[in-house]
Amino acid sequence: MADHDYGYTTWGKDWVRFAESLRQTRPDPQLPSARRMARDGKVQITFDDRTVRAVVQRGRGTSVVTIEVAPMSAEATAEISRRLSGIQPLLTDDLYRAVADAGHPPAPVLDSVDCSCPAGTPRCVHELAVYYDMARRIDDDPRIALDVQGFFHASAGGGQAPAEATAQRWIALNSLDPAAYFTAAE
Amino acid sequence: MTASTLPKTGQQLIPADAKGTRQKLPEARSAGQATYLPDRHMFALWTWSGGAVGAAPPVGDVETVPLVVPTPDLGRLRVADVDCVLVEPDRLVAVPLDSPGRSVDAWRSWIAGGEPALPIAAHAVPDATGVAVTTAEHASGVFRRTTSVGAEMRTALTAELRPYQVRGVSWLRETIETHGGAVLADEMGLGKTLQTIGCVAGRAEKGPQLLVCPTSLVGNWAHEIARFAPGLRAAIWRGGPLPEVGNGTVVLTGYPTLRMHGPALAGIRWRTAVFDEAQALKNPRTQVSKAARTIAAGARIALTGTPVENHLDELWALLNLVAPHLFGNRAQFRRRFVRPISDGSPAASARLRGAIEPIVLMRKKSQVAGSLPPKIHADLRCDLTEEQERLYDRLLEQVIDDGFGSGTERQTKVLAVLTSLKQVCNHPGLITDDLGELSGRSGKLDLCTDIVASNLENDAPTLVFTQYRQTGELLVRHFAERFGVNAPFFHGGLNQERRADIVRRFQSDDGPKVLVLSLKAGGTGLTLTRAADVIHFDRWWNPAVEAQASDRVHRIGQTRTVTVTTLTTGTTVEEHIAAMHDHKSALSDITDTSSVAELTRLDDDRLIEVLRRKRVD
Ligand SMILES: [Zn+2]
Repeated sequence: MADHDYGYTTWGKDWVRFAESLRQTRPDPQLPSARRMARDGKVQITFDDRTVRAVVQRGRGTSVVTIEVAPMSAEATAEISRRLSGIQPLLTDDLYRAVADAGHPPAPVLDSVDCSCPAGTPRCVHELAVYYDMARRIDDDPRIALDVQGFFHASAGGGQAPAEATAQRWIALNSLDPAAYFTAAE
Repeated sequence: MTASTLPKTGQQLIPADAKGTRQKLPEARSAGQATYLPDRHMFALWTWSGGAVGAAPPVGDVETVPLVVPTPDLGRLRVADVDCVLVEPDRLVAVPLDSPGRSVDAWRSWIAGGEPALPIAAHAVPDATGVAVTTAEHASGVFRRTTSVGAEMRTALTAELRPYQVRGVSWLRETIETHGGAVLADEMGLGKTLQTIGCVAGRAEKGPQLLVCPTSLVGNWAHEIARFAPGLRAAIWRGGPLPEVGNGTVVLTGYPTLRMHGPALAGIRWRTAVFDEAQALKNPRTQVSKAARTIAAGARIALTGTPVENHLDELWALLNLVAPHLFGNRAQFRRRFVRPISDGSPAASARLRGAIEPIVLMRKKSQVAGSLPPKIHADLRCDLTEEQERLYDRLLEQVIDDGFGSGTERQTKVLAVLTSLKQVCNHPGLITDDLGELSGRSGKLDLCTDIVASNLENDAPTLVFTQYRQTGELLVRHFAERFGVNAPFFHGGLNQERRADIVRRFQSDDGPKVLVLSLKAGGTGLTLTRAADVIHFDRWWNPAVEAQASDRVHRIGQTRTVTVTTLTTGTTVEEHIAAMHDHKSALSDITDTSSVAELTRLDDDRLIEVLRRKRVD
């Protein structure tokens, strides 16, 4: 039943897991229609810092799903920033695994999930559709996985560029201190 | 200079959430900035004023460059499109700037040999996906290495490299050292040949090098190497026993030879293998691609002028050829990039640029326009095919047997044989009347076709000039068959109304992509500035006539760099004509007939000497 069209990157996979939790013993019968809704463009997502707001269309009805994502831990932020500085600043699966292996899994934590529909089930199809659509977007652009956890708003210790960064090609945007923008740090 | 009055803020880091507590930086009020662009070895000049990016300083043409800049509250950094003026290092020293900021002072000091610390503004070039910034170490390292390569090239090559070309050489070196291979994908006209020769010249002492290109370009490479790097020994190989290879040798060969005789190359450990027009290797399953992969080389360089981002399968093949350890898995490449990009994802395009950035350098003319003269001349040598060689020799033997005669008869005969030989160079079918299949029979036509193909890819309208009505018709037919384009033919046989109509249609935005013109009818008076690319399909005695024709596009209203390409068939009388240009360019009043008259005055032996093919190798 695994649909690898969603979550083929490790970054996107985290959001597929919200829908297809490993703890579930049997697949939620709502999943196929949730995937179809995401695929058919029935989910319109807007971001506001760490808040994901989605307008989800099903039939003639429209529901609004609101998801609050917890901020990424300072350790994970620092670890990712450190690894983004280097030869190639790419959010690859390898980078994900390295960060996780270092003890700071970058998987998001959801603070709250809310849907405007009156469904009585613990998880409604709108919510599931949003998880898939997030996975799809993140597969395409893994920066979203970080952005939605406040990564680009937090600073990971700017000004003190790690010593090993010397002669490196790139340095992560948010590990630099904006105060050193116009005047070199001493 | 306000920097010295700045309170030391290096250690105090205020998170973005604590807005409002951050003090404004005095430097930030209004200052000119200089950001080094490592790929171009140029500086982007821009201004910061009143907490935002200001207007570009009034010192040249404005270009938009994505740079990392502070947010208005100076709390964060983000990527923004910044209006800049691009200048070369030499110019940064003297360019007048109002209140230059620390980034300008720091780079001026680097140019003078100092090594002061660089503020972020001095190296604020973002990566393709916008998550990282070029480090100060990388920017200053590239600057230093490129400057020293520039000094080295002044003695290694007889040509003077433009700054972006010096960077091309230093980039090739760095990339080969780091990754073992590189793809140089500069737009046509930027001098990939010269940059490659610069790189090859620097590696010559450590072993033999191999260069594979389309057959029609082998002679051109030999010519360019002899011209720009006389210290290198270029040896053309067309199969059979290999020439003796040693340090300083560059073996030149065509793709068909590689395909058929590839094993002969396998026994040698090449210091470098260069693949020119590497799109010839786009299909990894073909014999020629397999042969290319079996070549044992310390470094592999692929050159291509087609916009690689439009042909992702082709791009993968090149990446796999030069850096198989980085780009080994085709299925993964398709899934990660090809599929989402074909679905229209800009994020996937950015990710692709980021992924290939370490081993692909691609610059457009528009990006280095400040380093380019308004007109670039590309004089290409093409080779004769075997059919052309046989026909050329046969025609000449016949004339020699018949004799040239004397007086007016001699003049007529000389003119006639010149015309036939030049037509053989254009296409043998023009003499034999066998005009069925046109491709693969004229080195010149094949090369011209490659150039037009590349221009079509780049949406660059092209003018093709020829002296001969029949050649013009052949070109029109060939472009229609090869590209499905309907190229009008502007020639003396058209009435005024038809001519005006062709010009009007060509100048309109959706006008034809290729226009063929007769040199006599189309060489003067017209304005054809929609094109910035001109090809002279055959050579004329008087350089002023060619220049006048080229000026159809290089006139008021032309905003781009004009590229003028001349095609000269190596070893033939066309080389003699091209050589005459060098003597004549100062004497534009010399009439064309006088050149023929000059030939007529030569004695038979000397005349035959001029007309006969100069055999190489
Ligand atoms: Zn719901």
